[in-house]
Amino acid sequence: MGEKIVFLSIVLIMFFTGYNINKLSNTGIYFGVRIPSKFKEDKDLLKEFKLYKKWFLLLNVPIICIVGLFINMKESATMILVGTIIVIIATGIPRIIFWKRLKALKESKGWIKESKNMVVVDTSLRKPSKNRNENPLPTKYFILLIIFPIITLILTVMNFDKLPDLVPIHFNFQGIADGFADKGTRDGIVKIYSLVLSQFFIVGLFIFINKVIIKGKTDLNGGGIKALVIKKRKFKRINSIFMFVMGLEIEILYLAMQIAIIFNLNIQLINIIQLVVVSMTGIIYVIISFIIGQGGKNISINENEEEIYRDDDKHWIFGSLYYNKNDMSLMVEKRVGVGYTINVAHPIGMLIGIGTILLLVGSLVYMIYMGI
Amino acid sequence: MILMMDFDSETPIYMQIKNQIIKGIAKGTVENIEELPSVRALAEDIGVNMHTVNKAYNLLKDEGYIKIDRRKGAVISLNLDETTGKFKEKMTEEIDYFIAECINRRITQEELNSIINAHYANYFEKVK
Repeated sequence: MGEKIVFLSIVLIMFFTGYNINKLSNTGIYFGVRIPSKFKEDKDLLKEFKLYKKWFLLLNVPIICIVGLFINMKESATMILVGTIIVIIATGIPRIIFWKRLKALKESKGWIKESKNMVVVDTSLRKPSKNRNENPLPTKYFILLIIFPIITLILTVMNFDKLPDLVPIHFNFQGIADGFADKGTRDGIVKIYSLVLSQFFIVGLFIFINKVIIKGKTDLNGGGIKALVIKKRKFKRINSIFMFVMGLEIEILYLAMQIAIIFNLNIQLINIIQLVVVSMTGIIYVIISFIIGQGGKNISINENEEEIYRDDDKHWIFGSLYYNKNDMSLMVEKRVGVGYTINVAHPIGMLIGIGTILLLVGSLVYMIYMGI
Repeated sequence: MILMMDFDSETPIYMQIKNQIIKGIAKGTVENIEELPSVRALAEDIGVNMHTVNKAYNLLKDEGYIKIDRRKGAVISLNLDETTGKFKEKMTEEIDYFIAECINRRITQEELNSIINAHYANYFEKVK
């Protein structure tokens, strides 16, 4: 039941973002290709948009139905993971095909010549603006989240003696305990405190994310300067607020879970609440992203400035993987999709990239091997 | 302040950074104490080596336009009195050369004056 909710929301998000890929890409980006804004109403370009949506539906509706049927028949963690990977690949294939098609179209129309080898920088974009409503949340708000792991830690320490020798720490979706920690062993103690540790880690993670939002590189390209700066500022602010809400949610949920473990309360209810909250947050994030767009591009502003247009297609593998050796930044704005991505040419970026693939393959192999 | 770097220009990037910051100060688009981005941040944004930005900042510092604060980084702070004498010497020399070019190209004194006036006025217009 629970796994199905997760799978369903992943499918919904992938389907929706895939179908509306250009609305959720950065300014001036179509299928990962940069197009000068004066050509965005070009007939051949509009034809491609229509064709994409058609092929996207033709390919994905049957695939998602089949995967859904399989998961309905045999619900297991492995099935969910495999299903998710299939859906991610299937929703990505049309985009890569149209990335190639659009590159060819751009070449044949000679739009590449429009590019000016110019970089525009707003030196004040990282600094707080005088108008408070334009600023991302300051990092100190995120540091305040540390209250939650501390409460959890104190509660756990205070009630440690009252805990049974075998503490149920993991529950299946029916709410029956299927994982226990032996209070007497060191391993067991670590397990009892694992939620607290995760909470501390999550606070750190969100502080990092907010730092990226505030200090990360902002690409001013594909629009007028003034309009771009206003959009980017709004985008940063909304993103930062959303991240704070998400951090708060996770911290409260983890605290609730630990309380349930300590006082032996009904964990099933918390499990369901957790799933619903996490899924809803994901869906709301996509909706907000759809409204404001990547880098705030869908925010409407009167624009009558000259467009900055610098062709940077060569740095984006498949139009969405950033590889630029001359760029020192680790995190940059995504080109396709909303949020931030890593520069794979950066040493740490490369490590993260390889690590993610290894983790995914590793967990898949492990799950199949264990027969989960 | 908005910096526009032209990678096709013959002017090297460090010079462009320096020139545009000086222009920004003259135009009043930068406040007197505005903190400039860190060397690293500006290098990231422009997509150049940190040495390039460092070179520009050092030149600005030597001329008295910015000072490097230990905590805040590069801060705009005008301290030009020391270098103004030197600048005037250089300016006279260069203006002399430009006038020679103008005479050779038959550009009249009025024409030259009007160009100078227009550019001078330019710096006071856009502040509003």
